[in-house]
Order: sequence, then C-alpha cells, then structure tokens
Amino acid sequence: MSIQDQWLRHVADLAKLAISPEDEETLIRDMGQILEFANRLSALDIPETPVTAHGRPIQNVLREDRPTPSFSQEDILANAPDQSGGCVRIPTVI
Amino acid sequence: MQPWKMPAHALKQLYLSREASVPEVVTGMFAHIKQTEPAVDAYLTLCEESAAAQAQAIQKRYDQGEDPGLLAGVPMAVKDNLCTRNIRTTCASRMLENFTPPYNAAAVEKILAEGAILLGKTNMDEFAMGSSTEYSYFKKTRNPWNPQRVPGGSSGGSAAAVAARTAVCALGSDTGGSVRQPASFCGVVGVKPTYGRFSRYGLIAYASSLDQVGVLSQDVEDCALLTKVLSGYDPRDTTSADEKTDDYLAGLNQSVRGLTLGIPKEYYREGIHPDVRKAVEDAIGQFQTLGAAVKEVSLPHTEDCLPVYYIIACAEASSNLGRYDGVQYGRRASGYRDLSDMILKSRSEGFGPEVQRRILLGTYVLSAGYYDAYYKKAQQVRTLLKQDFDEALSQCDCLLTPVSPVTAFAFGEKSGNPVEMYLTDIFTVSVNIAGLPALVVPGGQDASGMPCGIQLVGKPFGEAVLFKIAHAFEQSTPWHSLTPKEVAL
Amino acid sequence: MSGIAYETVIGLEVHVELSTLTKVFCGCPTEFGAEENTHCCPVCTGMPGALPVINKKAVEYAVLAGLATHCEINRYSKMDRKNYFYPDLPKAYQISQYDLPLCKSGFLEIETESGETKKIRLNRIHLEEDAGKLVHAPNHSGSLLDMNRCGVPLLEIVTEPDMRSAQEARSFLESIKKIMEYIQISDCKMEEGSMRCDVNLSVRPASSDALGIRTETKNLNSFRSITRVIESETARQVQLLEQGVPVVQATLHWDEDAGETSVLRLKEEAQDYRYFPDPDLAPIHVDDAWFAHIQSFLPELPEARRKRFIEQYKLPADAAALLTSDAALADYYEAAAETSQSNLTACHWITGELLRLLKEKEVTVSDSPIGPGALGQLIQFIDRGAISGSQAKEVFDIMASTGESPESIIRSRSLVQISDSGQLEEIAARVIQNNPKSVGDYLAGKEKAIGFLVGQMMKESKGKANPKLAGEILTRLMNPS
Repeated sequence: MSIQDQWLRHVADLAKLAISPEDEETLIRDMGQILEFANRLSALDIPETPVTAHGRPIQNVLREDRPTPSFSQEDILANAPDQSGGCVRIPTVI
Repeated sequence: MQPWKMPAHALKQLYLSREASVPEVVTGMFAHIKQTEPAVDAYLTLCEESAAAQAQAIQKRYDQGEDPGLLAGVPMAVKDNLCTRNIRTTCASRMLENFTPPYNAAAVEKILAEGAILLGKTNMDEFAMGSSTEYSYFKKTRNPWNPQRVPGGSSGGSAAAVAARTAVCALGSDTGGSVRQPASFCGVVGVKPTYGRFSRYGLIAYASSLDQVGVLSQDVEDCALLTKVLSGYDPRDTTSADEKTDDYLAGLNQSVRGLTLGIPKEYYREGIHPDVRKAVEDAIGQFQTLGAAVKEVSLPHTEDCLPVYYIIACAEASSNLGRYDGVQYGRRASGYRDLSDMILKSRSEGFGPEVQRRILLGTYVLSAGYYDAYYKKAQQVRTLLKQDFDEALSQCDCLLTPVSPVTAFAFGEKSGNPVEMYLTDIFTVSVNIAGLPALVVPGGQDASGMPCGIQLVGKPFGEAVLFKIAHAFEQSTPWHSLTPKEVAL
Repeated sequence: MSGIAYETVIGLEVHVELSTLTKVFCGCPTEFGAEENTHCCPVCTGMPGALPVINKKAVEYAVLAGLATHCEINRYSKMDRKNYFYPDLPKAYQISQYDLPLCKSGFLEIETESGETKKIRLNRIHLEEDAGKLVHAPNHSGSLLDMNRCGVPLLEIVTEPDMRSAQEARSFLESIKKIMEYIQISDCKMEEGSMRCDVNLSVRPASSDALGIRTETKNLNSFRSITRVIESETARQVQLLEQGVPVVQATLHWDEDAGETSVLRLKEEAQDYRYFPDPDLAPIHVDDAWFAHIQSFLPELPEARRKRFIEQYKLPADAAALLTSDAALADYYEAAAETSQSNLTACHWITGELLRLLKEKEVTVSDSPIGPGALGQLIQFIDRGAISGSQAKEVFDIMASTGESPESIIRSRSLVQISDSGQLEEIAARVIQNNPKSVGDYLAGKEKAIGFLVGQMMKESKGKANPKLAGEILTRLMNPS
C-alpha cells in the first residue's frame, strides 16, 4: 500500500466513507491534483497575517437565557429511520 | 395576457388594479409548468395543492381591499436546500430523499409572510457542490436557452425556472457563485448579498462562512424588491447582520453619472472566452455612455482565491455534513453489520461522488499535521484577499467583472477534471471569500445565442448602489428582455 | 514484591453541567427528567439548516467558575468544533473550545490525609455542550437515543497531574462541588449526571520525578467508582511494573459491576478531532466592563468565608469550617447570629441541635423547619436567661414539629424561668440550710461546691430557676460580708 493509499484510507476512515477499490485510483489522482493546486499557498510566507475564520467580523453575539418552546416529540422523531418508545432507535452501541 | 410571465413588481400592480387574480395566475403558472417542465426539469417537488390554497387565501385579502404584502400572489420557486415546513427538502441528495423539515428557513418565512406563493422546490447540485446542476442525485436540469447546455449551478433549477418563466422569481444560495453563475448562464438577474445581510437560518449548510441565500429574478427591480423582503437581522443566526437595511428600490431610475466602476486588471486574463470578454467590454462602454467613470484597480491575490476557497469550503463542508450518519434522519442503509457499518454504508450510499470528494478533501486539510499548512494558511490568505477588495473598493463605487470565463457549456463537458471545473469559478468565489455583495445582470450573448451576464461587486452592505447601477445598465440595454426560444413561452 | 514504594499520579477532567435555564445554543429547557425527546428543537438535535447562538449566561458562569478557582480569564476566546462520530452527538461534532478556553492556569486548595493544605493546579476550564443519552432497548433490539441532554451547557475542568491518592481526588471533587454550589452555577448532582469525571492515572517509583505512562478512564459518575478506579488502576499498573511489563497508554472504560476496567482504545487509535473555529458562532470578547459585571456576581468563597468567620465571629476553627462547608448553612448561621446577637451560642446551636435535626429529617438547610430568624429569637431567650437550657431544647423540638415561634411556645406553655430574685432567695436559703456540708466545703475554698448547690436549687424549682442568677444569689448569701 502506497503512502497515498494509506492517507486516503485514514481520511476516509475519519470521514466515515467507504471507498471502493475502483474509485480509489481516481480519487487519489483528483485529490492529488487539487492539493497540488492548493500548494501554491505554501509559497506565501505570511506568519504574522491574522486568520479570517468568519464570513464577516463579529464578536459577542449572545442570547439571553430565556426559554423558547421546544418542538413536539413527533416533530423531532418524524424523520427518524427507526424509533421506539419516544426515542430514535439504532443498532446496539457497545 | 399571460400575467404569470411578468416580473413580480408588474404582477403586483395587476393584482392591485384587479386586472388579474391570484388563483388565475397560479393556475396559469401550473399549466405552463406542466408544458415546460419535461424540457427543463427545474423542479424536484411541486406544491400545486398548497399553492392553490395559498392563492385563494391571498386573493381573499385582496378582495377585502387589503394589500396582503410585498410579494402577495407572486409565484416563487425555492432551492431545495432551504428548509420548508412539511415539504420535502432534499438538497438533491439521496441522503435526504425523504427528509421533511419541521420548520421553515428564515428566508422562506419572510417570503411567505409577504404573501409569496410557493410553487415548489428546485433542483441543484447535491448539497450545493457543483457549477452545473449535473451533480443532482435526481435529475439533470436543462438550460431553457438550449437543452444541450447546462443551466449552471448549483442553483441551476432556480435560474432555469426563472428563465423559463416557470417561476416569477426564485430563492437560491451562493457559496462560491451558485446564484450568480447560473444567473449568467440562464440570462436572469441574480444577487448574492453581503455575508450576513440575509439570515442563513434553515439554509442547509455547505460552507458556513461562505454561504448566503440569494435571489434570482427577471429584472433588477424584482431583485431589489426581494432583497428588501429578505434583509434584516435574525437573532437565530449569529452571523446575521444587525445593520440598517436600505430602501433598495429607492435608487432605481437614477443616473449613474459621477460614479466610478473599478476594473480589476487581474481578471482580464487568458482563458476568458472572447464572447465573454466582448460582453464585459461592451458593458464598460455602455457605462461610460451613461456617464460613469471607469478605473483600473488591482486584486493581487486573485490567483490564490481558488485554493483558499476549496480549502475553506471543503473543510467546513466535511464538518457540516458529518450529521448525515443515518441515525436521526436521512438515509439509513440496509444490510449493515453493526452501528459503525450502518454509518459507513449510509454515508457511502447517500452521498454522490463530488460530495464525497469534497468531504475527503476537507477532512484531509483539517487533519492532524496538515491544519497549519492548509486550513490555517487559507484563513490567513483570506485576510489578504479581503484587504485586496477593501483597497480596490476604496477607489471606486463597485467593481465590474466577468461572472464566468465561459457561457453555458454542454453536459459532461467539464466534469472530467475537477481543477478545470473549479477554475471556472474564479471570478465568483473571491466575492464569497471577502463576504461582499455582488449582482449579476444580463450583459450580452455569445455567438450561439447563449446569454452572458456581467458581475458588479459592491462594498459591504452596499446592495443599494449595486441595484442603482445595474438598473441603469439594464434599462439602457436589451438583454434582460430577451427570453429563450427553446421552451414554450 | 520488589519492595519499591510506588506513587500514584492523578489528573482529573471534571464535567459539570451548568444550571442555566436553557441550553447553551438554543432556548430548550435544561431541566432533568423530562419525557424523552421533548426538550428538543432543530438546533440541539442538529437538524439540517439549524444554527446555534451562544447563551450569554453560560459564558458568564464559565468565567465565574474561573474567577472562583484563581484562573486567568482569556479575554478573547472562541468556540471550536470537535469532530467525531458517535450516535449521541447529533451534528457529529461537539461545539467546544480548543486553543482559547475561557479560563486557564488556576488552582484549588484541598486538605490532604495528613491535614495539610495542598494546591491542585487547574490547566483550564472551558465551555462545551453535552451529548444525548443512549440506553439499551428492551429485548436486545438495539439502543435508544434521547436527545434531551444534547446541548446542555457543560464546563470541562482539567487539572494538572497533582493528586496522589483517591482521598486527594475525592477531596478535590468535593471542593469543586462546594465551589460550584457556592457560586450557584451547578448543582453538581452526580446521580443525575450533572457532575462526571475522567481519571488520568499513572504510577512511578516514589523516588522518581518522571511521569509514568498514563491511562484515562472515562465517564465516572460517583465518588465510589472514582475511588475504586483509582485503587484498581493503581494496583494493576504497579503489578505490571513489578513484572517488568510497560503500561500501555490507553483510554479505558470502567465496569462498575465487574469492578474492572476494559480498553476502549489504544493510543495508536487516538482520535483526530480536526478542531477548527466554529464559523457559525462569534468569538467571545470579555471586555473590562463585562468582566467587572461578572466579577460583581462572585460571592465570598468558602476559604475566605471560613477565615472571616474565625475573625469576625471569633468561632473555633473546626466550627467555622463546618459552617462554611455549605453556602446555605453559612448564610443560615450569619442570619441567626445577627438576630440572636450571640455568635457563639448561635454556632453552638446550629452545629449541634440544628444539624442533628436536619439529618434526622433528611432535609437540606434551605428546607429547615426552623428558620434562622426563629432560632435567633430562641437564642435571645436563652441568653437573656428567660428559659433554661433544658427548656430551650424542649422549645426547639416544638418549633421543629409545629413551626410555632419560640415566643408563643414559651408563653403558652409557661416555660418562663424563675428570674425573680425574691423567689430565688427563698429557695437558696432553703438549700443552704439543708446542705451544711456543701456550704462548709464552699466556705473552705472548694469553689466547685457551688455547682452542687445550684443543682439543688434547680431541683427545688423543678428546673425553672435561672442557673446564673441562682449561682449569684447563693454566693451572695454565703458570703454576707
């Protein structure tokens, strides 16, 4: 297994995506191309530049500790693939 | 008379003067949709019954002498990544094929409160990831101007519906050009407002720091009208702006004499199709004729936009799309061994290849050991890109740029090489990175008669200036009044 | 056994649920014990399109916790996403704080077994959201997810590896609990899961300064399990070292029934959480004005209050510690002391009779059947000499069962003490006459004999004589100078 296969598997494992063997090669190629293209940023030496993590500069957007109505159990569970006794049912968690 | 073909502001006048009734318009619209949809396929879900009921209710209020709202009786389409209460909302993904939200997105609430009639939900690239609407799990939407061509994307369904007049106007969303590029490809007006101008509450997230709800319409006046309806602070969205909203209609029909348009020199580059270049040059000429000044400006980090965009958008997407795991909603695969296998299978079956590719890329750039080199670096360059725009916009009233280097391309033409596909987004993604408002207005046609828009980029919360400038251009050029011949209009 | 002495090194990560009314990112209630999935909305269940907005009070509580534990407050802080898949985490990320927690570098003082005071350093305190609850479905038909706890605000308090025994860990947790209750930001009920703890533990030869390889045991929710984990994990690691087998760094799960740990994951499988700033939430800037505002909510803390009780009320050290161990009890004392105007008698009655009563009735001091004002009045009667000590106990018991005021009890049951000197002189004269031996002893310089004579006066008066006055009168009559 090449390093590329390995990191692709590691990333796929983190992302909980199964990659079929036939897609693996294409994905490695495509992502390689995209990352190569992203590598142009490494040419910029800008250690002091602050980051922009938001769509616009904001701070302290807060709400008061005041209750608002919750949704009904029916609404909360309406899209659940499986439910039982007012809860979402899933395969057993070990 | 076919009033359902008219822009919202004109239709509204017909209602007020009793020359048309809402039920009659809505019935006419659905007849037109039935005739046109097979050729265009703009919609994923149609709401004929509820639309008819809404029409009756609104008409009743008109009959009682009320003005039921700014959009009362205007038939509208909504992109299928905006939550609609009790109406299926799929993001054009197999993952959400059967997802029915228990709530309305803020943008949907607002148009409904002003009396808009919801016609249905429009097709898009899955989770808004794409530029052609080819990445919909359900179907391909065709460009009403030529069924061999894509409508653009990701709001391709909304743009095609407005172009084909199967909706008077529509809501879309724009993360890297997803309203503006299809507006250009389909010959309609599209606006992506300043980040924070419209609430994102209920817009199913692709990349939270870039996503904005946008509007697609037949003309600038409708666009201004919808912007008026959708603007304003929403305490449910932390990133929503508590800034005063302008009367976006007030500046229409005013002269642009004395205004200055900036032309970013880095945008006139190789790879722009000559027809697109001509449209932009013609627009520059037209503005000069109208008395505006034109000035060259510089956006030095233009080349860095695309990597910055793809790193940030994919990183955020990889996290935003983690919630689709088959547990509480969405697709749950069958035939799994255990919980972990259920999650893996549900996600692998539920997401299409482009979405998976972006999730993988985003996961990679955030993973241990790569964060600083990719994600943090992209956020730093984002700061530089914003500074570029601040500097350029300090020298002019707005920027005038191409929307896409090309006009609507044929199906399958660009889906081979992802980088090549991404490159066509270069003029639009920079605007999302900087969080600025931008508007696309029809500006010409290519040699084959496909529409081509021009983009105006404004200062933060400077939408009113964009409407004023775009309206002057629109009213002095023929482009917005042209309609596709390919569909039965 | 090699005969080497080993030392256990413990660090804790304590999770404390904040007692805000609403969740940290939406307006759903945080109340415990509701029907499944009824305290939920699109935000806390991570529905597509929903967006979080920070609860201001949760931020203020976190800062308050930092101030109460000598932390430095990061004036500029932010929320980050911690990405991992687990079915109790609806968004597949937990909104938490990564590199800029609200509070850092604090400490708490605990008392060690030998009675010394020891500083336990805090690495950080940050704000995050709780996850949902998973329970087994009946008949092994899977697991059931209840999302009512999703989004309840949590503080994560991370210590440095400064504890050396289960007793110290327990003492630290009790101290945290006491402080959280004092500043009223959490009820810290372990049985309801509002306080939980992860134990990081390693062992090393007592002579060594280097840290051994540690394990982390997750999610312990009782003092008993924490003590058991520390004991069993210490024994396990010491045994490995004795056998020359290295300890493997791992995350462990504690099985309370089996009384043993099992491996959840090894270090090589360490999670890669892909933290990044949450673009949906604004950074938090605690500016000077806000900081001062939060500071104004900071009450006097247990340690300072204990010292003040000794100084201001002249209480013995152990009584001051007992009274300040609980904010409500300390408040009770101060109110009773004020009404009674007698600091020591109030202390005596509260640490004695009142605590006995509360224990007997199984109620907290806030639910005491006798309020501090009423107890203060009772003490006034005692100090004035209006009733005797044994009468006072009687009155106290009646107050506890009927809620009547001491005044009305004393009046209606004519429990008033004899303080009339004429009446007392008569009794005293009789007692002196009937007990010549004791009088002789007293006059010969045996001061203690007066006690016996007072006792006789009490007996004669059926307990109603004011003992203080009785003593004075006896002395006067026997010393007719």
